[in-house]
Amino acid sequence: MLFNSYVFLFVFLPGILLLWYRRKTPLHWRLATLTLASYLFYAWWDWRFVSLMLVSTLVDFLAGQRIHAAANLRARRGWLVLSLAANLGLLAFFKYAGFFSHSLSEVVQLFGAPGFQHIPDIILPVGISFYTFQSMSYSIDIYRGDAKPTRDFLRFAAYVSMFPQLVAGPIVRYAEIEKQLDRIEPPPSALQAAVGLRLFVLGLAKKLLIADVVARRVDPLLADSGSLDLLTGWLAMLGYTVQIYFDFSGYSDMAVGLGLLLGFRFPQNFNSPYKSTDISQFWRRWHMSLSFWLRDYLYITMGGGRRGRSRTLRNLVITMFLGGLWHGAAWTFVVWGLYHGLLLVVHNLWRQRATPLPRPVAIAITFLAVVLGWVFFRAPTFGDVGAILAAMGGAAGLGLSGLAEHAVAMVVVFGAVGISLLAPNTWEIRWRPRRFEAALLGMLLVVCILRLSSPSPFLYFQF
Amino acid sequence: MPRGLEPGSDRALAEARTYLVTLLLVATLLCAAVFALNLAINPSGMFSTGLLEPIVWIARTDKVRLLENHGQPVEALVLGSSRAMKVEPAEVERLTGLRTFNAAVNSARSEDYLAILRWSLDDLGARLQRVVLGLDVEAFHNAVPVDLRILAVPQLATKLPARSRFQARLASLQRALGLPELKLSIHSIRQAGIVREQDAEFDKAGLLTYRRWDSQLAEGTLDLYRNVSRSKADYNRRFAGFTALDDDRVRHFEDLLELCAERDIALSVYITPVHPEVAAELSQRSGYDRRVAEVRDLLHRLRRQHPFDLLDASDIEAIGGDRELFYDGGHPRVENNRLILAQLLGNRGDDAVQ
Repeated sequence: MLFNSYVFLFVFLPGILLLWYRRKTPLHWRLATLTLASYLFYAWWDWRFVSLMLVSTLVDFLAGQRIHAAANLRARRGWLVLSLAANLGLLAFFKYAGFFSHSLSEVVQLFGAPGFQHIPDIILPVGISFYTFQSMSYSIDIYRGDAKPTRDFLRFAAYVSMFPQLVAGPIVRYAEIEKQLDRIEPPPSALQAAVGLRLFVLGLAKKLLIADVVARRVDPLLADSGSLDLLTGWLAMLGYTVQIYFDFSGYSDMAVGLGLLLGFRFPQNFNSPYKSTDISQFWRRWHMSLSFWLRDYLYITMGGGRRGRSRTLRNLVITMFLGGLWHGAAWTFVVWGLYHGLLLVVHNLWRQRATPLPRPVAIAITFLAVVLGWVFFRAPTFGDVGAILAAMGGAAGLGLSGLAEHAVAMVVVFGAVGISLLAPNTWEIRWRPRRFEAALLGMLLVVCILRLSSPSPFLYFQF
Repeated sequence: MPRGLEPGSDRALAEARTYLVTLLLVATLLCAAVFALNLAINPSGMFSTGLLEPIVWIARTDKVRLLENHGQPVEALVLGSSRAMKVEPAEVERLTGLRTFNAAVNSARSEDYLAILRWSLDDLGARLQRVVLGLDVEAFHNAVPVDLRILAVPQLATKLPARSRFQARLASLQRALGLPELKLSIHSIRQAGIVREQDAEFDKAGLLTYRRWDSQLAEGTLDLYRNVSRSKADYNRRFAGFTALDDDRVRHFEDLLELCAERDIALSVYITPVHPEVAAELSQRSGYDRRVAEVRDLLHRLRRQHPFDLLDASDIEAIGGDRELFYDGGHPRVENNRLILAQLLGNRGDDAVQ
């Protein structure tokens, strides 16, 4: 089920809120309601994959208890390995099996041997990358002693499946939500509900009124990368840069807003990433819950920055390589991850030796580097990557004759770039309980509802 | 934490309550207003409010009206989409000796075929001896909803399979809350009282005449390849989300076969062609070839239970047709259709049908 769908806005959400805001519902019933609603939310997409989420939940619930109760390190490690193997196994099979078999076959053919039958691409269960990471963090945190296991399966199932952030984050750690799960009785205050609803509407507007409008202008350009020139190449990639930001941060705002409507406070997932003055800061502001997950469970586990310069740089590259692979089973994503790893290495070396650049220059350079990175992320093949980069470099002509034809697209794209670079983000705008603002927001909600008729899934659903 | 969420006093809570009520009230009232306007103006003809004439041309309405006023009993029916609208009833009549009506309607899918056939038999009392079905591969599309234009024709809407009817009603309510419908309503109000000329019209037997294309054809100015080129984008869009044959739509087709068998109606089915250039484009960019093969397999399988004539005309050149005899990327001219009819109906030997 999509947040930006009639069934969610007019049936599912009012239904769950009606149940949720009944005052005398005991905690246990609230957890059951939330879990059932979340499974229904997920099953709406494809009921067959509900069992995968259940398997992941059962394994980690059991592993968490056993890790905590284990008498020695060996047993604790064994249960942790089981948890990681189960979650990564699900990911490997559903997300990467086709990719790896295809790649292996091509490598074998490079050496003159005949290729072999590929494992056919399997439907990617939506949100699997998110809920497996969330579920794994529980086992790892218990292993490290950063969290205590719950004995209540319903509570854990509610944590893993919580529908507001189930399919595209933010990735929430159990320790962040544990105490909040005790406080969902009574229902949230009007203040929390008002701020939540406001954030939800603003997120919906970011998705439908900015990301989708930009997408309609740039998707046709990127569909035929061979026809791009300097003007359309930059227009398309700047457009994609803002499309993915408003799409994903819009989703995150909606998720946080829905969380508040239910009484939960989820972590911020975006903090104006395009205002970053360096690439390291960018990753502390972009998809923050994933960045922090990779930092805490991968980078630091490998030693982080504690074992000398070369190990630090190696760890950065490996972390970003795996971060790239997490986004998609394709070499273009791997190269995108490595590219960002390289940028982090360059930044790390630069930081030690050079004086800081003036802020506007630093922002511009970081933004440019990120835009170039999105080429690998967006293009379906390396052929398309080459065509887009060549066009952006001017090798396919300037395309200035198309200025008039693309005037509207330019206004839309540059307007959105301006908002992402200059305007405060939705977390920074202070909420004031004025009727006028409420009426404006009500109108904004209706404008969004009027645009629901064209289906537009969120970009991050594919990961 | 989003700014403004700091713990508040009683006054802050009261203000938050007012804020929530205002926001929800404004949104509800505006939604209700848009919905009421679209319902009253009814520009797409989905509802039976009838304040203004629908602004969109609905072939289904015309075909039902023509068939109701046909005067003579119809013995054979041509079903299909706009790609079968140029199948000449006179040619079917010549080959079969049966009085024929072309009941093809645009964007028809299997539920449309079934609804038209049910209505003709049950309500119109037609004593049909033969049905010629120009079957589009997209008739089994698994990602395209029921064409809502059928709701403009209550005679057909009531004959839709129950699930399709429910889905169509639900979709029409959603559409009444959409921007495209609001724009149409505004356009409809502006155009009220203005008589519009349609780009196409049907003769008494339901055969289509394209005003523009047929006059261009007569003048020798029809630019086929420009039209084909324009069609490519449309067909690419159509096939983009078409990943498998839809189970419900296959079931509707099976219902149609059963109905024909029950009423002793001979059925002749041909898979409609697209222009070879469009087919080549679709083969590259979508699962077109796979879908055609799946439809072919399905038809062969179903034929074993309920025998019917079958011709795979998806590749017009493979059956001796001419790629020059199209209007655009999807609509064959009468000459190609005559060839199809000749192979489907003219020679009933097994070698004529595939």
